[in-house]
Amino acid sequence: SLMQPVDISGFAAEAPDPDATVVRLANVYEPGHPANTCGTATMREELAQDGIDLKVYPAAQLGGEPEIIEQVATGALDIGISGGSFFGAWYPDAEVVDGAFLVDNSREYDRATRGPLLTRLYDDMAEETGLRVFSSWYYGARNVTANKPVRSPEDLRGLKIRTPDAALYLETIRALGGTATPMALSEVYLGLQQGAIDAQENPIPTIASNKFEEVQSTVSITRHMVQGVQLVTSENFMEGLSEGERTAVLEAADAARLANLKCIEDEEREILEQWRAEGTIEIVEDIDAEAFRQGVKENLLPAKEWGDLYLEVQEEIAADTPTVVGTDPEDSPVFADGKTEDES
Amino acid sequence: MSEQTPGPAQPAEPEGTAGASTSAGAPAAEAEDYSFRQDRLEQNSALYRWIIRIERSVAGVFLVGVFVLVLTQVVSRYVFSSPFSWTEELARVVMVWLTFLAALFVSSRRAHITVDLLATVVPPRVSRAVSAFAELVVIATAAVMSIAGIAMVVLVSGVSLPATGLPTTLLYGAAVVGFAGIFIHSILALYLQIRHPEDELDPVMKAAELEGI
Amino acid sequence: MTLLIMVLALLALLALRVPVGVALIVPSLVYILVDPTATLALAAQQATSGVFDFAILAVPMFILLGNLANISGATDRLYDAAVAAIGHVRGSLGYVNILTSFGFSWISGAAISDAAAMGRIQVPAMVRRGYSPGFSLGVTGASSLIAPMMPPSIPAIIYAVTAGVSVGALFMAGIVPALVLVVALSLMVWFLTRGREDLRLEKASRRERVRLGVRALPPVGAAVVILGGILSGIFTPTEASAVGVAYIAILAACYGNLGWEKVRYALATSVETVGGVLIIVAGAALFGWVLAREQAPQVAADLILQITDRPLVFLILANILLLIVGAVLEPTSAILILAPVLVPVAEAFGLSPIHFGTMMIFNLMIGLLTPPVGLVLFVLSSVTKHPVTTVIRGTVPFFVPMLVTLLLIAFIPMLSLWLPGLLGMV
Ligand code: NA
Ligand code: NA
Repeated sequence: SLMQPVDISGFAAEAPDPDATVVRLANVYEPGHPANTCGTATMREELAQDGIDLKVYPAAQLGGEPEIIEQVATGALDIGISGGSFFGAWYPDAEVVDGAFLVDNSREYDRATRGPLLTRLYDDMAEETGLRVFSSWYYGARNVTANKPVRSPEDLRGLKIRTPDAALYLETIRALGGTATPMALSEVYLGLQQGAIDAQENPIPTIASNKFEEVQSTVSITRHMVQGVQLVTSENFMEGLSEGERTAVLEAADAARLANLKCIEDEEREILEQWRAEGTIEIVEDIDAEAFRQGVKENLLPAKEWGDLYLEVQEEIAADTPTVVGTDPEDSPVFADGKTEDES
Repeated sequence: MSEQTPGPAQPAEPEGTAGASTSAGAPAAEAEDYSFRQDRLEQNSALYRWIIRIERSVAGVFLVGVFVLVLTQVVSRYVFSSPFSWTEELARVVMVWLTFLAALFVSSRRAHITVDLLATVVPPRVSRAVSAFAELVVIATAAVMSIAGIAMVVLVSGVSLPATGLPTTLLYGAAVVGFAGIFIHSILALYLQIRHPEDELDPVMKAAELEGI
Repeated sequence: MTLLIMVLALLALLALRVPVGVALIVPSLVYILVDPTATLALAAQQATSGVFDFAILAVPMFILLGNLANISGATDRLYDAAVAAIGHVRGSLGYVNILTSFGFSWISGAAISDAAAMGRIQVPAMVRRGYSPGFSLGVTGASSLIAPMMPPSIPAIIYAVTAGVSVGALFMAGIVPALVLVVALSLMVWFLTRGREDLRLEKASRRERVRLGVRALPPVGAAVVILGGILSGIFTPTEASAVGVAYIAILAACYGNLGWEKVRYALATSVETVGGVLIIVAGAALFGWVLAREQAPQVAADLILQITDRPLVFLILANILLLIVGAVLEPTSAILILAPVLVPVAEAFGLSPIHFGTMMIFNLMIGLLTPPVGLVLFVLSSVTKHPVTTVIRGTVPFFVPMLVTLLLIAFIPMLSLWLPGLLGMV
């Protein structure tokens, strides 16, 4: 069978337009992650129509998140994608988007990041640092996997939970009652398998792509961090583009934002459905969210300089304030098939 | 490139595909030598001798530091209810410093790893010229890399590392110090090479010495 | 094009005796200075981030472990025991070398760690007993590749995460190929030492074997402590390297060999090796960043797709590409860059990503033994003080068993898939 010809036409390299303006975009997500298959892929297609060749570097090929941001700051990289808390090193208030229980679901996240308060935050950050966040993409709701159900802070007590190696994640898990242990993502599978750590927390697509369900018995739908990733560029890069190119980049990012939102919502739902159907891992949904929220309010917010901003953002969502940038999902053809997720 | 800390002396054995002469019994007893060899500059200058000694010690301390930090990470997971969150990042920062400090120390020993593809086929005079050229390349590279390091330090001033909160300038500062040190040591090496070529082992001799021929 | 120019420049600089670390930096610097969108600061960023990596921590630790094992007397005890046990077999130390690497592979997840720890211990001991430096270095280098094939394995974790396959399945997939490698290397040792009756040591008496065996128990305990610690989850594979150092240091103290002069010597020799090796890791990171930015490996992979639509030809071409990329890139960068390009294609050709991953990892590991960027060669040269050229020459015969193993892995998918299949993982 090794001699049989196979149809591989789908993989043939697209010949790049030699006259196209090259724009480089780097991120740390796997090529198979929705942020790339739906997000950056859509952006690439959209930009190709405007004569811009978007070169995408996934999987930390050009470096991790702090390095990607630094490269954007030097101008060697045009666009970077990074989680919100990594901007905290440059502009402390930017961490607020990774605040635990800031929003309840993907749609609230999408609205909040396009609302007046966070738009102003990113304007201020651009003025002070030269780093311009111009689009926020939903990444997923983080849930805890362990070898027992985690319904309340009491269940977290004494549990060694792996977190990414960033202060905010550690502080969040501690505020929620767990014992935070920072560890590189590449060591987590073994750590869980061998018991160096008891639990970890990540969005469902990340849990699935790292196969953590193989080495954990239970996933508890805590949704403690409804999270996104930010597209960042430099003011210098934006100013260097023509008016038309600038519009093209912003519009492509907006279309990609919606495509990514749809894919991740679908994937979060489908993976859980599949796990449930196949009995891969126990799914625990009766979570005492109020008790976790209390932990965040008492132990995390008072220590953060963005504590007030956090509350203001929540007020803005509660007041149903209209967004100031980007297309609403309801107005987008991507969501026109009526299969939109009703998350509650 | 000739000065290296001497390892245990090796008995004379010619090279063959799979070993040559026989020694079926126990290995010959070796006189272990734990002292360090000194170059001409160290022999003539107490100040330089002290500088080398400090470089060696500081790099050794950083090596031990990496060890202690990783061990602390393991122990803290079992001894404390809340393990330290800074050990991993600090261990990595210390390793970056270890890398550049050890590399600058290695420069002073003229012991950086080279691939002597031409060494055995060109006459000694050409070989010396090649060595001098290589030294010039190292000097220029180290100078540019120091400047690159300074540019990076300036860029990240005010930015801190995520877990420890240490300034990121501390991370990139290691490259500045390391390459500046390599720059200085390489200039001294070039000086020695030109003024005292007799100190330098010819590459063929060097290979022979190391292989115990 | 960039790939070709960069590699040629690298080779030229190496030939002109420019240190490997600097030879990797120079073409990268030229690239950065020529490209109007790149900035000089990046050179420092990439060189630094190459060693700002948790998995790399195992490298200085295993180098220190090797030096401590030597001053502690632990090495001598292990050797005396191993030699007493099978020394009467012709070429025994070659087999001892492979078997200790096999044992060490259950502790170590990276070939450079094995080369650093084992090279220091094994090569001088072999040379002392009449084996040529080339043969000793060659067998040590080749057998260091067992470590990343056997679980735990750092490249396997990186591939699994990048390609989206099960880490556990990939670990299991590596076991049979690692055993094939052990057998293939042993056959080569048999071949190279045939007719060499001088490499047969006098058979030790039974009493002597027992005595030396008991003496070696505490050093053997290091493997038990490290492997047991990893398996029972007390520490991760990277952390295990530091625990190993602690264990050997305690052992040295018990033997009364932890005097200031010896410790100072062990530290200073370690620092020399660490500096020599890690500056190459830093340079390779910068070099790899330039290649990644130019998407050089992707361009090469696209080329393959234009050539063939037959799986067999694809496998052959993919192996050639991987061998070339492995020669110039450090494996982690190579996996991060190539797995996303090649794995979907391999799947389209009907190949299992687990099988393809095992093949890709072993292929890139062979690159650790090929110039210009062969980290195992440099580590061995540095820890043994033999010139890199001697190491290169010594490894040449061992490319036969390594390439045979590679062909077996590539064309007999069952070698990789049988065990994970048996355990219901694929
Ligand atoms: Na070995
Ligand atoms: Na291993």
